[in-house]
Amino acid sequence: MTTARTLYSSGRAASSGSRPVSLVDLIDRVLAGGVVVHGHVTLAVADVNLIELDIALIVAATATLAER
Amino acid sequence: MSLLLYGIVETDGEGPFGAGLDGGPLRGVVEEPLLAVVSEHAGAAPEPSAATLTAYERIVARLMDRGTILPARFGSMLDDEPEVRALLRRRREDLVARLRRVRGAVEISLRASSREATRLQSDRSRPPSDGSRRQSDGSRPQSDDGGTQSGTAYLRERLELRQSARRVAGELDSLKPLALSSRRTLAPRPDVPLLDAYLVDRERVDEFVALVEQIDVDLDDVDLVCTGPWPPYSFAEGPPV
Repeated sequence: MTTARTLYSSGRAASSGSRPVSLVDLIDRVLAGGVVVHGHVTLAVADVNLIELDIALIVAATATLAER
Repeated sequence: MSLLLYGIVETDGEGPFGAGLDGGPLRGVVEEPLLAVVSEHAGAAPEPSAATLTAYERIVARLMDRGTILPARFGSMLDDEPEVRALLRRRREDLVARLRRVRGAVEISLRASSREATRLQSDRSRPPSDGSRRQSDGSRPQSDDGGTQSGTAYLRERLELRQSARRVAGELDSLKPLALSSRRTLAPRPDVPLLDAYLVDRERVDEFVALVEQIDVDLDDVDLVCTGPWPPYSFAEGPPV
């Protein structure tokens, strides 16, 4: 299977070939890219629907959180 | 039971596709000439944890090994097969054009990180040892880590980041002739002046990486991280590829 890896990293060229990608690189692709489906999700607490949001907005917010 | 979408392929890439995130089988929903790879999924969209994101990426990478794919954004849920087919019908022309354009190519990501920002983050992660950190006098905005930063200093930092991004972007432009297409985001985060994605023919990936290494020699204020090969996540939406 063709798995993404770190192909080059400044100062680490000699050992970079087999290193896995970092979470931030994964997020930049999987959560920020790809075909967007215009669905929506409902945020609920204790079975009470609080808000409905476009799924793309949820994903963007999650990505921002994951950076911190 | 909803459907979780993994990617869109042409109908000549039919199953079996293996297992999805929940361990259940992936299957295809056809709307000629396109096929959406989905799995049944109960409840809300899966949580975007590191483990789930990694598992998702591996599934999409496995699908890419079978043939050309436009990956779906993680967590893309559709109610049922008619909704999937409606999506394929609605975007048929665009999706077919993109699939043809990304055939035989992979995405290579290039992230430039500011060395100064990396150093500052490293310094902030350590507790102050000499008591030199200033106390807030109430007249300046206080940063999250308890330090102080004036508005002028903040704006200066942003300006320097944009200038650094443009400088780095100029250096990296020599990569474009090796790519079929590219996407650029300037200063997406305070420590990242530039985030690029390149659509590169599989056969030219080594050549591309060698040029990245060569360009890096002249860049003394940023670190470059080049990753891939990825499915073409950055070329599934936005301007034509």
